[in-house]
Amino acid sequence: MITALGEGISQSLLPCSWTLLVPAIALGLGTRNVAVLGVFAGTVIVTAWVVAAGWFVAPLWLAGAALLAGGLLWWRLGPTYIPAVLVGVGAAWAWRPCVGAELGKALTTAQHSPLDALGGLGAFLLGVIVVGLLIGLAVGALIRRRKGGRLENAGAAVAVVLGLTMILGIYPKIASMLAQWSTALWA
Amino acid sequence: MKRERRVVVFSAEMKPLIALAALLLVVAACGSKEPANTDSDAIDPVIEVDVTEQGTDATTTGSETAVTEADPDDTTVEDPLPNLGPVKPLRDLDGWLQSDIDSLEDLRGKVVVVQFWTFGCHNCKATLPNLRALYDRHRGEDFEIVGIHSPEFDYEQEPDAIAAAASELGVTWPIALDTRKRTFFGWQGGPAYWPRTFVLDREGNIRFDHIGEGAYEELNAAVATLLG
Repeated sequence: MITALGEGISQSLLPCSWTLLVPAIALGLGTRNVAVLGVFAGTVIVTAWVVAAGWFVAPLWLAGAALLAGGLLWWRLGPTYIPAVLVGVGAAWAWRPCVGAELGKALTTAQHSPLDALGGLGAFLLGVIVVGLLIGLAVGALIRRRKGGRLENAGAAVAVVLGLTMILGIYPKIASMLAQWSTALWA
Repeated sequence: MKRERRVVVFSAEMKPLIALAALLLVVAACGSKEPANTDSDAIDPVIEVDVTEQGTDATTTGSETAVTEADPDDTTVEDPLPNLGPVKPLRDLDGWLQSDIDSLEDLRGKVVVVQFWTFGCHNCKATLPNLRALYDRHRGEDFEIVGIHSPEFDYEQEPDAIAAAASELGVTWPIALDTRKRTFFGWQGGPAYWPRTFVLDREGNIRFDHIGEGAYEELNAAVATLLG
């Protein structure tokens, strides 16, 4: 489990993880409520587990719709539980992972024995999510310290924009450009 | 003369974040492993699973092989690999690279490793040293590798870019171009992943299936078993 958590952390910045990372950053930016952040993480893990088991695989537009609904509710209600659940569901549905050794073990196991895969998959996802939340929390703390402004709606805007790009079908093109750019930078 | 001291003060809300970030760095350092095989010389020897010799019952469990004495009167040969069913046809491909075959049917009678990959995928690239070594090891036998290139991002769709990447990465086996990802989703059914590796027996049945990096010993053993 520790190895899977470490793999999640080390792969969190790769392009394949961005559909999880960006909503996590947005949520970390919007709230410091640990319970809401925990609900978001739990929702991502359970939803991704359902997908990995093959019980329900959502198209990208549906993931976008969940993110859009979550973002709009977040805007109206603030970063509370229901928006966190919707954003978590959308992020997990949109996730198309590149698979390392530990995640590979979990996903291979999930094909025939879903319950046995939950620990490894959850640990990996937790690694990715915690990095995103930490980035959001850290950036949020810095901005609040310098400007004292309210950031709740910034995270909602990120979720809305991400959801819209998925519904309109332009997310793959944006992700492609960013992935190509980041790959070139990495090389 | 007094020396000025600069003191960095972290606010209370930043301290837990910094502590957590430090902890995560430690966990990441522990969990981030180098690819198991980065050099063909460094690959572990293939686990020999001899299923043709009478009187020996070989079973593969995980990365270990247990060979036990069997009843000498028992002449049945037990194949330790599960049969996961017949292979599905490749659907709506956009062509082939480095190949004179049109379908997997053309490879019937051979043991075939089929891998879904895309050249920009970090994890796919990490599996290539083992595949290259496997290809070299079984050159001249009834063995083939087919890479089904299913691009994740737009920039991975151009055949020229795929050919250039294959050359750079040392991918010398046939590459099926699955630009629209019909085979990628059709084969895998439900969630689909990069990389995913299958081994087909001579009759076209799937006998090994692994998602992601790793399981190199199991993959090599499966190929060796099926080649006999």
